Parts: sequence; structure tokens; C-alpha cells
Amino acid sequence: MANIAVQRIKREFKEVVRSEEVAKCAIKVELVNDNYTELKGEISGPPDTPYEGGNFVLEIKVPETYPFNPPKVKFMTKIWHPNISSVTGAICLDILKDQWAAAMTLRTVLLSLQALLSAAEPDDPQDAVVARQFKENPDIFWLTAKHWSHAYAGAPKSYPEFDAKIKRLVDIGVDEHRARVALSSYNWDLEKATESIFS
Amino acid sequence: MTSMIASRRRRRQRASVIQHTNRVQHRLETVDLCSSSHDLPSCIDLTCEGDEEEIVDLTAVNDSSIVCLGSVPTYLQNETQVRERNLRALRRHRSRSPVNTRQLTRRPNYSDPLPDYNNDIQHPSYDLGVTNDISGGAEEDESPPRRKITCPVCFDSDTAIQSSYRQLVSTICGHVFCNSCIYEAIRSNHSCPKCRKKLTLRQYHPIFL
Repeated sequence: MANIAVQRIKREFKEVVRSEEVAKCAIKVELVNDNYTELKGEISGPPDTPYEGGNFVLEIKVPETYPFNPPKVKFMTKIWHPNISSVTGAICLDILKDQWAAAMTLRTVLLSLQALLSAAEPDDPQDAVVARQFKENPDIFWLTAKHWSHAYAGAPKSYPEFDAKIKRLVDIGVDEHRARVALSSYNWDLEKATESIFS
Repeated sequence: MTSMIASRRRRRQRASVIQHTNRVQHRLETVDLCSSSHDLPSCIDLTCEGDEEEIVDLTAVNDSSIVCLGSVPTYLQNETQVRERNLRALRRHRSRSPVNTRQLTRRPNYSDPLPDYNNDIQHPSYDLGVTNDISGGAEEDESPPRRKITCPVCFDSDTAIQSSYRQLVSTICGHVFCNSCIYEAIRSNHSCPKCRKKLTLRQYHPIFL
């Protein structure tokens, strides 16, 4: 890897470790391998969002041309959010694409992602199903996102009715995650979700 | 007598021309304005001669513009100073007509302080790459506490930049980088790494601190 990229990451590492956000446990960065090409990020769900109380793990891949090109970031923790794919964890965020600037750092990227969790952009979606729910059924979206945060990110338990519905599907032999995706996509309509799974 | 009236009229015309150029070219050509103030003595002469209300009126208007002319090139003066001077000049010529007051109230227009070039580039409140939380290799050895200047792209401190034969440069948007980083950044993104202002390779220059 290019010298400047390694040097930058090393220094950014120090920056993140020293930052006050780490002290508040809002963001975290860890090394995955020794040559600084891959990192593991972690952000906590911002308060007053359905992600509150959850910890979301991110995969950060640093390209050879860093910092002149953005790092490749995606969610490893499954999340229900209009701008993040519920399947792959791919993120739709301008600063990770054409709006990247070389003076941005891992710290600012993680903070931007945290901001994205508090302010979704449903008009520029990554996950069309989630975005539609966000716009048409905001209450169900909120509960669903909260449910996912509990299931995958360790946030506190929320709505027992959803768990009961998932259990119904699991009991007939459906994989739990698949049941959750189907129910979430069909606004927790058990019949429609079952139909979509077995069709 | 007729010749006197004629000369008065001529003077009056000239005065109005000066006043006109003053209004129009005021902001554009400072040098021009300064040179036109050579006419100042003749104008004042006119004031002294004239007893008629009409002429005093004209001169006072004219004179107050001249005061303004004198004040223009010295942008360093603050607004209140300029205003005080205008008022003093006005009192000197005992002009009480409403025209003068109107002229005076229009004055702040001319004597505006001109830090405008700071405002027309609208950049967000990023810092200028001057950070004190990232150590850039070299240790701080100066006794007075000085903010360390680092290139916000490679995070090298100014001393590290100089010792590796690089240079601190500033973009036209006022952000400071090392020359190799800004070159690379403009080549790959065509914009400022700090504020994303569109930049070409000719829109930065070295700075010497």
C-alpha cells in the first residue's frame, strides 16, 4: 500500500483513539490486519432514534489511493434504514462516493454515518423497500428499525408482537432472519409475509 | 458681470461632473478619484466667494463629496472616523440645506469598510488545517504555545513538510496544505480537500510563515 495511505491511517488511528467521541463510546476503530488496509469500525446508535442502544459494526477497506479516494465502508451489522441495504449492508452516502474530500478522516466518516442514522434520506434510497415504508408507514418503520436494532445490534427489546410473529414462522421451519425480512418488508402482515416466503 | 455668471456656471458644471464621477467610479477607480481631488482648492474658492444660497448649496454638496474622495483610499480608517471627518467638513462650510444632510446620510455607503472578499467565498467554518491535536512527528520545542500547522491531507507538521523539501501552500479559498498533497488532491478530485471549492492546479500558491 502506498506510503501516504499507511501513514495517514496510522495517524488517524491516534486521532480516533484520542477523540472525545471514543471517550463517550460513540465511535471506535480497530485494526483487522497489520498492513492497515482493513479496519473494523463501530458506531453506537444515536439517541432519539430507533437505533438507540445498539452497536453497529462497520467494515472499512482502505484503498491504495487513500486519502484521495474514499474508504469503502459497509455495515456488517444488519440494519433497517432507507439508505443502507438490509441485505448487503451497502451504504448510500455522498461523502463515501463523489463528495469525498481528502481532508476527511475515519473519524468524520464514522460521525457522518452516525448522523445518517439520525437523518435518513428516503428520497435517495439504497433499500427501496425500507424507504417506501419510511415514507408511507413511519410508525411501522420506527418499530421495525427498533426491532432490528434489538435483534442484531444489542439494543433493548421493543415490541413483543413482532417477536411472536417471527416465532410463528420459525415454528413452521422458516429461518429466523428470512422470517424477519419477509415480515418487515410486508409491514408485519403475517399472511403476506408467509405467502412471499412460500411462493 | 455676465462673464462672472458664465464662469460660475462653468464651475458649477465642473463641480457636478466631479460629483458625478465620484458617484459612478467611486468603487472602481480609486486612483482616479485621488487625482480629481487636485481640483479641490478651486472648489473651495468658489464656496468662499459665493454668498448666494444657491451656490453655497452646490459647493457644500460638492465639498462633502470631496471629503469622501479623500477618505476613500484610506480603507484602514474605520467608519466612525470617516463620518466624524465628514461632519467636521460640513460644519466648516456652514451648510444647512436638506441636500447636505441627504448627502451625508448616503455617505456610509462610501465609507463602508471593505472586508467583502471574505464574504463572497462562502466556505463553511472549517479550520484552516491548523490543528493542535494531531502530532505530526516533530515534537513541539517552542516555548510560547503556538498552534501547530499540519497538512490536513498527509497530517505532516510544517517542520516535517519543510524537512522533506516540500512547501506549505494556500489555496485561493484559504486552506493550507503541503504542495504534494494539494497537487494530488486537485488532480484526482478537482476541488479543495477542505471545502470542496472547485480548483485548478493554478489556484494555489506557496505561503511563507
